Amino acid sequence: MNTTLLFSLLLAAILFWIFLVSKLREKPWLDKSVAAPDKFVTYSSKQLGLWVFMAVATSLFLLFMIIYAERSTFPDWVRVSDPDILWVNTAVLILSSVVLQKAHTTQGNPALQTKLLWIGFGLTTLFLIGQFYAWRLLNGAGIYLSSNPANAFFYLFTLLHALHLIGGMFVLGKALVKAKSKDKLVQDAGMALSIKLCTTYWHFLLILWLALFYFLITT
Amino acid sequence: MAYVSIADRDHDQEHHDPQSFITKYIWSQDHKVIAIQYGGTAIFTGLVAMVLSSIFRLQLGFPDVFHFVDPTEYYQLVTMHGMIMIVYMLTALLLGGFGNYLVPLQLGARDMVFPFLNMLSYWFFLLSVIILMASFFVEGGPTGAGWTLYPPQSISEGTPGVNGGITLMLLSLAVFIVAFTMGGLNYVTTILQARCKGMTLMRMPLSIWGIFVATILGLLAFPALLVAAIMTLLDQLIGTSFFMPEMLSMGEANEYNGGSPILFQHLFWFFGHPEVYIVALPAFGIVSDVLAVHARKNIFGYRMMVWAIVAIGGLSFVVWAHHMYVSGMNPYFGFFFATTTLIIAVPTALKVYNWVLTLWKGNIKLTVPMLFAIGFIFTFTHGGLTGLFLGNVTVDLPLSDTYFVIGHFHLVMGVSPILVIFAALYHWYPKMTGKMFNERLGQLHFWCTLIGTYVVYLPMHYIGILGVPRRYFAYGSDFIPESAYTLNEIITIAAIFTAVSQLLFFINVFWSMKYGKPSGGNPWDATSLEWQTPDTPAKHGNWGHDLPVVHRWPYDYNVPGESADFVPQTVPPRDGVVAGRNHGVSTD
Repeated sequence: MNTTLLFSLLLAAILFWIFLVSKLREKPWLDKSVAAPDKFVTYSSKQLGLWVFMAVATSLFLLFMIIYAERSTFPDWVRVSDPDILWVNTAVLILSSVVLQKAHTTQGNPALQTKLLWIGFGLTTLFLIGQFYAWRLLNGAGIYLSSNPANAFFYLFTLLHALHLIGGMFVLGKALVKAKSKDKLVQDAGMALSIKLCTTYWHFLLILWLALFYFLITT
Repeated sequence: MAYVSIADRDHDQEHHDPQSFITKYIWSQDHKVIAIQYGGTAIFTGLVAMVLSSIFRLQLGFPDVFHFVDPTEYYQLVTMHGMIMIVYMLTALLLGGFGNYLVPLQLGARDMVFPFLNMLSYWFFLLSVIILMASFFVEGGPTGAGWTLYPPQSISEGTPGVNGGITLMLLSLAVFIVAFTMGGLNYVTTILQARCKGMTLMRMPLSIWGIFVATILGLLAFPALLVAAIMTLLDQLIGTSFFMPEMLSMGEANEYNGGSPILFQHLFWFFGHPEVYIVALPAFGIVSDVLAVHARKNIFGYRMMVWAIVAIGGLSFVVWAHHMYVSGMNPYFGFFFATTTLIIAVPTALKVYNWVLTLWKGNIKLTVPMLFAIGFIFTFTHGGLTGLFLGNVTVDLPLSDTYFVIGHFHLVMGVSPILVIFAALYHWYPKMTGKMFNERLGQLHFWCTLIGTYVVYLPMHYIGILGVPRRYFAYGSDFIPESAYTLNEIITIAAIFTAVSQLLFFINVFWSMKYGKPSGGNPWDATSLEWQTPDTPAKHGNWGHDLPVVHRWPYDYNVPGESADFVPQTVPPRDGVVAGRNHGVSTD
């Protein structure tokens, strides 16, 4: 790690501290008014919950990546030639994210919205099948989980990412079932929020996958 | 949406009172019931860990008299004692128990924002405890690798519990982390979203600030333990080499190649050090509130206290390698981590000064919770001061792995949080049960606990400086002086005495539940919201029809110009009353 990075981190920490303290300057022993509803956070609860969850997941994967980067400098590390299908999978995942975004912005047309959600769900399933196929390819080539740490990390990263995606698909699936039972009336507020949150989560998992993919193919 | 009145809620979220016994007490989504479930389970595991410690203390104090344990069992007992106390007792009790109980009540909310997730959090926690306890009953018993579970030792042949125990331990930790994440999501979201009208962030009681920042630490730090646990599990079960190096084990080369045990240590302590503050920060917050209530005085330096909690939380992420000085590191790293470690003493000392200054000229009521809170200031200061020794690389090296370390961390993060837990249990007992506990019995419990723990842990510093190492089953007479033997006997007797005297607490809790005097809604004349509920114990939904509205901070005690010596947070200001801080000096 170079000094420039360290110092910018330090500067960022100081700036964050100044920001925080400036937000927490109220002198509660003087003020006796009924304060207006706090505008510290303007999200809905579910949205905030998702953001907190994404922070936890980021922490988890970041730690994995740091360990990966460190472990890859050891002499016994053997580079995996990653299967080409990963590129196709990546394209499919990007597409699913785009489709969900489109569904989120298509407010006026419930029929089209439901259709787009189903397409997004299908594309995500396709991505998972593709990932599983990549595993089969590696396995077929005699590259097993325990043969080298590089392989072990490959299996571990793809599995954990897939598990997070499956969690998201469960929520999306629930929204789709609800949409069907409500006769495709996708426009009620709860539904709109579900779609919005799913879209955010899909984007998050896409960015996560891109970062993991970059790591996997470069080392 | 910072506050919600019952009429504004969307239909799904409306709270219907649970009817049957099962939905009311077992599959309950009420934060108060979940808090008691969490607390009860945590106290139970804590009792198990206390019994374990009594058994191995008998071995240490009287190696020739008692033959309860062999060396293998000794390591298993020590390991389980440490892990249970830190994770399954302290973390679960302070955040799962008090977090759940206090957050909605002190913020004027009806419940957590995600009650179902909250219920799930408890059941996952219970599952993790069951998995952990199951390891006592598998072949080979629980793991004996030390609570840090360092590989290669933890998963190499010859370590107790290498077959089933370590697998169950790692699995249990993973489940615990899932449970904690669900609970933590709830605390953070509830604190930011569900405060009642007028409850600004800077009007929250310090208990909530402690729980809030500790939860954020936990959410960011527990993933490190999860990563370490998953990878160690893979090393053990599938034979990957994340952490396992190529080495000779029992005279034969193992099948691993090139893993790095140091990577595990970094991960473990990146979780392990914030963990100290995950336990300490809620305790800091709670003790501040207890001190203010029973000294009938506002907390000294409220803003400083909040900033110190946040600063300690931030700094706790950049000190972890001070647990690894003996693992070997670049001297510049040692310098860096020693510096950050000493810097963290600044906000911590600030808090201690503020507690003492809160007592200064206060109208101190020596109630049982107050006794425990004052006891905490002593044990925490003593334990904290020895931390300054261990934070320095050069002093740490000779003291590392001696009883000095045991004395230090037991005083600072064992005894201190437990004293706060007792302070809190006695303080909120009337709110939880509607009954008053027995004062005399409580006082007896306090003195037995305080004196007992001091007799246990102060001599440990001395025998540590003598060089007596920790994690030894028995000491030969060659290198341990006679005085250490005598002290070891005294420590054991005191430890058993302290352990047995905890019965006083349980007798008090159960006796008072039945025969205690009714406490009324606000026996301590406290200002914060949980004491202003319409019913005691608070009913489902907490607040009856209307949510409270907050007009002031929670520390308006002995405000000049007010007739009562406290003004609850819900009381609107009267004209002409001078604000509390100015002690009669007009601000006009």
